[in-house]
This record gives sequence, C-alpha cells and structure tokens, in this order.
Amino acid sequence: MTTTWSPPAVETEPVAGSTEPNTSVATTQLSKRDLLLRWLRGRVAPVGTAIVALVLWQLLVSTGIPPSSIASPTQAWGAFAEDPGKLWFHITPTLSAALKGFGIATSLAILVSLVTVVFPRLKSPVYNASVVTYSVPLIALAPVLLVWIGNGAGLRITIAAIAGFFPVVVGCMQGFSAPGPARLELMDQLSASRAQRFRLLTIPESLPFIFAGLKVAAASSVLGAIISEWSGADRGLGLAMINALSGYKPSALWMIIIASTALTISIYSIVALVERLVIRWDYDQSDMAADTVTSSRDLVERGPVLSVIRAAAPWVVGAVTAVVLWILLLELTDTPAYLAAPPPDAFAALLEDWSKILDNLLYTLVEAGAGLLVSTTLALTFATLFTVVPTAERSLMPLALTVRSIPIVAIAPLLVLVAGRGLRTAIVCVTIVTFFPILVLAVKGFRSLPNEVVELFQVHGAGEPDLFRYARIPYAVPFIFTGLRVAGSKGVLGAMLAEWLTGNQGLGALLVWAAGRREIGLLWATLVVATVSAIVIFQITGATERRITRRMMGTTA
Amino acid sequence: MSPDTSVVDDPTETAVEMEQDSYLRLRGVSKEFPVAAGTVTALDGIDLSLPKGGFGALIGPSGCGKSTMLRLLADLLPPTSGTIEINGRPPSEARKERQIGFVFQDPTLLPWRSVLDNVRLPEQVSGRTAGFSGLTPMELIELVGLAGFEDARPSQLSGGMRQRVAIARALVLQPEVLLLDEPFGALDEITRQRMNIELLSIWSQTGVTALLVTHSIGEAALMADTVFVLSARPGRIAEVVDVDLPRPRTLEMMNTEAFNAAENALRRALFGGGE
Repeated sequence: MTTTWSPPAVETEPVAGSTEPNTSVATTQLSKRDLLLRWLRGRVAPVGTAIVALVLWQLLVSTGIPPSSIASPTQAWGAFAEDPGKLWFHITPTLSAALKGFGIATSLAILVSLVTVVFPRLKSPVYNASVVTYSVPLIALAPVLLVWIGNGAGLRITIAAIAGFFPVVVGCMQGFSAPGPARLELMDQLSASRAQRFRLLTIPESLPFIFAGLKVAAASSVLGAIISEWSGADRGLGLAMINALSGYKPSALWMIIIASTALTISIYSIVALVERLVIRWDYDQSDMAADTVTSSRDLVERGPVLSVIRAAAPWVVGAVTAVVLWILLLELTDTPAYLAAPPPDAFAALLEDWSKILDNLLYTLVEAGAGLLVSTTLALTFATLFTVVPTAERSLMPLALTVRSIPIVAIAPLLVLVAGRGLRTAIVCVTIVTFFPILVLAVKGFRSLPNEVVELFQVHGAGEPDLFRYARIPYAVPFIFTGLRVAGSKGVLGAMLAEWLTGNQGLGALLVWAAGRREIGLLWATLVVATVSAIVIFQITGATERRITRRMMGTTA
Repeated sequence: MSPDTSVVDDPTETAVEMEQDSYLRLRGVSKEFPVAAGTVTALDGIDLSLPKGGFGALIGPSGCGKSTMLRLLADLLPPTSGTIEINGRPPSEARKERQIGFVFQDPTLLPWRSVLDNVRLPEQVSGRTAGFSGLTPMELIELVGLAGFEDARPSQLSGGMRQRVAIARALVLQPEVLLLDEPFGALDEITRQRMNIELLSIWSQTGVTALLVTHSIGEAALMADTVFVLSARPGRIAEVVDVDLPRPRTLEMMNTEAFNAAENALRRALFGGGE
C-alpha cells in the first residue's frame, strides 16, 4: 500500500516531511515534552466525541423509550459507586493475566521472528503456524486447555498469550523485511557486516511495524483474558460479565463493559505512548495501520501461479506434525484418554457427528455472512458520507480508528442482553465487530487517489458523483477487499462468541454443549473444524485480495 | 568507434599518457543480467580511463547502463567480463579499504538519524575516522553548507539539503574516488546549477577523483574534464569528449564559445553519431 493518506488522528503530529521546510529557520529537535503535548492534542477530538456520545446516551435513556436492558451512564456509574472495590476485585486478575500473556506473547514472537531472520527458509512455516494461533477460536481454547493446565491463572495467561502472539509475529516479520533496496545498497557500499546492517538499519526501520503489532497485541491479550474467564473463573471481568448477564443486571453489565473497554484502551494507549517516545522520526503512519498487521501480503509470496499442491503442502506438513505432537504429549503426560481426546477419538467424533458439526458450521457461516453483508453496506454508506462531508470524518474518524484497533468482541454479553438470544444477536455481533475495519479502509480507499486526479475531474467540470464513479470507487476497491479480509476472520470469531453466549445454534453453541456433556472427542473435533474453517476463510479472502489488488494495480502491488 | 576518439580539436593528452596516470580504469568490461529469456547485455566492451584527481562524466540515454557502470566500479555488482582497476587494484579491495565514496540518486538518508549521525554512519560502520588530513564530520557539514543543521532530521530538510548530506557522508572517510549517480536528477534547474558549482568546489578542495553519471548535457559539460558518451543498449562508449574550459568553473562560463562547443559535441555524439 503506497498511499499518502494519513488518518486525521495524526494531523496534529509532526508533518515536516510532507511540506517544503523553511530553510531560513534552523530547525530544532522536538523535546520529549513537545512530542507528548502533540500526542495528547491528537487525542482531544476522540475524547470530545466520546463525551458528546455519553451525554446523548444519557438523554436518550432518560426519555424512557429504550428498553430496560439499556442502562444510562449514570445508572452504570451507580453500579460502580455502589461497591467500587468489587470492580477492582475483578479487574486485577484480568489485568494481571493480560499483561503476563502479552509479555509472553511478545517475547516468544520476537524470538521466533529473529529465528526467521537467521534462517529465512523458516519464514513460511513460522507464518503459517502463527496463522493457526490466530485462527483458533479463543472461546474454544479454555475447555480444551483446561485439561492440561487446570482452571487457574495459568490457563488465562496462556489464552491471553495465544491471543497476542500473531500481531507481534506479523509486525516483527514485516518490520525485519522492511529495509528497501536503496538502503540495503547503501549498507553494501559501506561494507557493513550482517550484524551492523541489522543493528543500524533493520532494527530502527522495523520499530514502527513492531509497535503496530504490539498495540494490537496488547488489546488482544486483554480480550483473550476476558474470554478465557467466560468459561469459568472465580474472579475477573469476564466472570463479572457472565454473572451480570445471567442475573439480568443491566447497570452492572454496562459498567463492566465500560470498564473493560477503558482497560483495553488504556493498555493500547500506553503502548502507543511508548511508541511516540521511542520513534521520534517521521514515518508514513498509514502504512502501519492495524489492518496491515493482519496482512499476509509481502510476507509469504506464493508467485503468480498458485499451485494448489504447493499451497497445501505446508498445511499438510503442519497438520501431521501437530497430530504427532498431540499423541506424543498425551503419551508423555499420561493424560487419561477420557480427558484429552487423542486424534483417533476426535476423528471418531468427526465421523460420527459430522452432520451435526456441518449443520452448525453452516449456521455459523450464514450468520457471519449475513452480519458481514450488513456491516459492509453500513460501512460503505458511512465511508461515502465521511468522504463527502469532511466535518463528519474529522469528529468521528478518530473514534473509528481507535475502535478498529481494539477487539470489541468482548461487548458480546451486552448484545445478548439487549438483543436477546436469537439469530439476530449473532448477526448484530458480527456487524459491530466487522463494521470498523471495513469503514476505516473504505474511507482510506476513497481518499487514496492523488490530488491531481481530483483536480483533473475538477478541470473537466465533473461533480462528486462522477468523481466517485470513475475514480474514488476504483481506487478504493483494493482497500475494501483488504477490509473484507480483516473482517472475515473477525466475523467468524464474533459469530462463535455470540453463539457461545446464547447457546442457540452454531459452532459456538456446539462447543458449550460438548463441554457441558464432557464429550471431549466432539469438543476437539469442533475446535479443529472451527480452526480449519477460519484458516480457509483467511486464505481465500487473502488470495482474493491479492488477486484483485494485482489485477487493479498491476504486478507491483 | 574508438573509445579514445576526442572530438575536441586539440586533444592535449595522447593515449599513452592517459594510460600512464589513469587512476580509474575499465578494460573490455561487459555486464550481462539474467532475465526470463536468457540474458540482456547492459554494458559491452567498455574501455575507460580517468586520471587521479580528474572529473569524468558518463552521459547517455536512459537504460544505457550508466548506473550499472558506476556500480561495477563501486563493487556493488561484479562484471561479467573485463577488468576494473582503481589505482591498480580491484574495486573489492578499494571498497573494503573505504576508498570509494558513493552518492546515490536518492539521498538514502536514515530518517531516524540526525544530519550529523547520517554523515557519521560510514565512520561507525568501518570503525575508523578520516584521520589527520581529513575533515571532521562537522567540517564536512560546514563544507556542504549545512552548518547549523547538524541536529536536524532528514524529514526537516529540502531535497537539495538532503543530497548535500549524502555528499558529506560520501566524503567522511576521505575517499580517493567519488562516484555520483545522477545526484541532482531530482532537483530543480536552479538548485541543481548551484549544487553543481558547490560540488566542483568541494571536489577541488578534497582532490578526490570524481565520476558523475548524468543525463543532462549542460551538467556534464559544466562539471567534467572528460565526458564519456554511452550509446543505447547494449551500452558502449560512443565518444569521449574533452571539455576545454578553465578551472575553477563558473556558471558564467555557460555563455562561452568553449562551453557551447562542448555541448554541441555532446549533442552530436548523443543524437547524431549513433545512427
């Protein structure tokens, strides 16, 4: 993605690189304080929008029109003020698990990425293995891992770590391959050693990518910790959510959701703040957006002719290795067969219950597809509005950017509370989860055309409709497909989480059912089917995106 | 198509004399690149020689292999055949001895480093400094006219200023050879001419042997003692044009007969002679 678009959130940040500098004035280094102030100023607009939204929300609830499941901000505050210590009681274990998981994920991911620097042949296997960790439905992990790790802090730390691993790996791998040919040639010319090249060029150049991954990973780890608590914990925000949902306490649930979101945003912002202090040079932030963190492009290039066998081979090898390790692990740990189904049991369950699994898989996919359709329609409408009315963009886009970077799927209990336990809930959940990535990328796409193109249309007297039809939409197509790919995986996860909570139908519901009846074989089979489906969706949408981008932008894109 | 043909009436040097004090020398150098269908010949049978402290220019249509030739000299690419010598030694030795300064088309500054730290990069990589006779990084920054900007980041500089930093960086280890790959190609005409004169003054102060790749006839005539005109692919030396202008050169010289004669000779070599 070579675009000069930059999100409005960074408009107040240093832009010296994009303007002709004033050569008569000796430029001075920005102090840490100035940088901090600029960073804070960039946060004013989203905070302002949030305050306005809170006031509107309060007014709306006070009219009495919304149902009782929607608590007002003051009611949520009341639930907090009633027993502030209780919230603290639930936040600490979640925060602790999230931070530890984040730390483990970061260390492991950096270590693994460094290995790929030394052994470039390992890039593809490492990336594929990371995709598996990204595709495993977090909600299904707790009942399965419980067998080995036991239901304690270790379980939640593990899930938080798995949730945070992928973004950091991708950030590191992208960053480590970021130095362009010109800078590499400079290092050649200076006869730099491999170590010097890495220290002087690769590390600084990779930092923006790594931080983009760290921000997403920090937020994902919080999500992982919360979701792991949904399936049974004695403390934690996730447990508090489930209790508030099952006891029908709207005020308490809203309060906990707000607290969880605030926690996630805080951790995300702390990493962003560290990034501001570490990276003090200008770089094209639009390239580092969170959506590129889940991009498979550039990392594993499969060549123009996508051979099915070549594409499938690493996965087959990976699957066989996983099965062998699984059996070995069970043998070595002496795990009773009834607890951890070895592959034969899972396979037997797959054979026996294949129609049940397939039915539920289709159900999940239909829900995800329906939600995706709604969110795409909404997102494109809003993106058009934002493009035509810049004021709307300026006030709402920063919020959308922040929400896009944060896994908001943790609000699913709230949706169940408000929307009930029907099919609708899952679709609403998918819509909310997938709306923001598509919106952000569509706006980015509509604005990705060079100024000269806009001027060309103006010179010929064309209006905004013509500009949209002939320029903005074609320019935006690759961006929108990137959004759809990012949204695809999120959508399936969102649908499964909603199903898990409603217990209605779909793979998520099947997991609850299997876990409740201790049908470990079925649990494993469902987990594998869900993971494989997510990987397939990830691959198909990724391949479609690459294809579209290549066709529209020529071979270079 | 003899490589030593001089179209200027009175060549002051004979071929023998050029051989004797030639500092940069290419003999029968060819370069082929592998492509999908076989190979493509970028340079074919190049003979070229430049005396110590001289200023040479390579000019030719785009894609004629000018930049490739510079990269062969800098040991960034190996030649397919032929020999290359820098002061009688192969380019690989010269590069490891840090005798080559290279200015790329793009300044290629590291955006996270200040001007001073960018200029110091070669010192840091090689673990050595220019020593007594050389200029310090600060003096070089002054020499290229950036005094007061040593703490600025590249993003705070204009295109011309960035290229000055790149020139200072190329000179920091006091190289014997300065290779310039269209360094001012991206600059506007006014800035470019000012930079030309500044570069000449730096060149005369440092005594470095310079070879400039350019696609500007005026720039080649203004800067060089000897201009090597390359033909289109495969790149061969079509003509060698000596520029008969006194030093130090000034922009006013661009109005003189001698300058016009050199320009015309180059134009003929580029557009007339090849057919």
